[in-house]
Amino acid sequence: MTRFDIQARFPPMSAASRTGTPPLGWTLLGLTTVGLLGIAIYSIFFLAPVEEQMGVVQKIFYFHVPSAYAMYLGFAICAVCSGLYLFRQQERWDAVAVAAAEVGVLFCAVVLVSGPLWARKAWGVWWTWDPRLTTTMLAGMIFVAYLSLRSFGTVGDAEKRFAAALALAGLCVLPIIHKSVDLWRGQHPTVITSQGGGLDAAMWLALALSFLAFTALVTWLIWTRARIESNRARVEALQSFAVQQGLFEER
Amino acid sequence: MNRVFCAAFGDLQKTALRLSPLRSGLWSGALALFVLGSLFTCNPSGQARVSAQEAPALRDKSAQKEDGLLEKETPGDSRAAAFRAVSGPQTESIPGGILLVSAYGIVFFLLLGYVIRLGSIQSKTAVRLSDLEAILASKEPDEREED
Repeated sequence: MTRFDIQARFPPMSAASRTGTPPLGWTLLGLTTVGLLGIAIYSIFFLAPVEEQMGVVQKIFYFHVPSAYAMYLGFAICAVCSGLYLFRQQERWDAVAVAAAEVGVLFCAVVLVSGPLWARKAWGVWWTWDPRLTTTMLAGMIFVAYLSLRSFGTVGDAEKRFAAALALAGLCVLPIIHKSVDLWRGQHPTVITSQGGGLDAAMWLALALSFLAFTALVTWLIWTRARIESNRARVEALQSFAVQQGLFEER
Repeated sequence: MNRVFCAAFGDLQKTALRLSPLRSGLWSGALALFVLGSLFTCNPSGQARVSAQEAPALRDKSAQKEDGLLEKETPGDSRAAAFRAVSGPQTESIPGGILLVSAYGIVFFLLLGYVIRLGSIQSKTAVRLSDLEAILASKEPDEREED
């Protein structure tokens, strides 16, 4: 990699990045996220009523569904940015794709952990090979494979391109997860349907606040991770350039 | 006018008086059947109006069904769940509180773990960058001497 390659592939660092201080928007978003999460938790536990049949365990729903939405968001952003990386060959898109994949996998884990805790009460089992559960696990495995591919030693252009193609393939699973309930009847309930959801008004408020809080959280996490990944990739490129120039030996 | 009136009703009165009790009964029965039949066969006006309004709509619906244009209920819609607030005391067979606390606890620890991981990657990058800077700074005087 030459000096010109580095300059072409990495956009110039912002003033905030050079000084090491985080951007104001990032700080504000972080504070907003914390505030929204606090309000959402308060509304879940103190404003939303207990469900008639399921009892308190129904309150898992307020984090389970927004987590699934956050997972969709993460995987979709990863696929879109992977496509942009393949098209433009700019490191910034690759950094956002990696960040979104990690955040997507994190929320996929949240969904796959909180779901069985609900299922134990609702269905009497921890896990069942329901179409929605199975396809969600499949999507999670695809993006875990993406991250595994990215973590094998020094990642070159070929690995990055292959991983980007894998992310685009993973995007195809997302509509299947969404439509799996309609396609292959399973046990998974659908509370929010095209004909309106079956929720109490106070439950709607708690759910809406959770969605808002998770949107802010996903954005903040992807932003943070993308900045870190961008800096990491920049340092790695500079290090390999320095090795090429014979400034020091590779360790 | 009076003569005409008297002539008409006088004739009617004569006709009525001419009728035997049997004939009178038959005529009364026929009249009663006519009235009752009219009541049962003819719908009340309101009902008839609604039917007349519904008829084209029903025809449209059946035509749409035939064309496949009518919105079908999806399997997801058919199993749509409704959550209602409890009214009165609640009883539970499986303790939901433990499951709820576990779920929120796991979510909290997963998020916390990820934020710690972000901090770890950032600090490693910072260490690598400072190492790189230190090595390059130590090389610079040598290069200057060579120049």
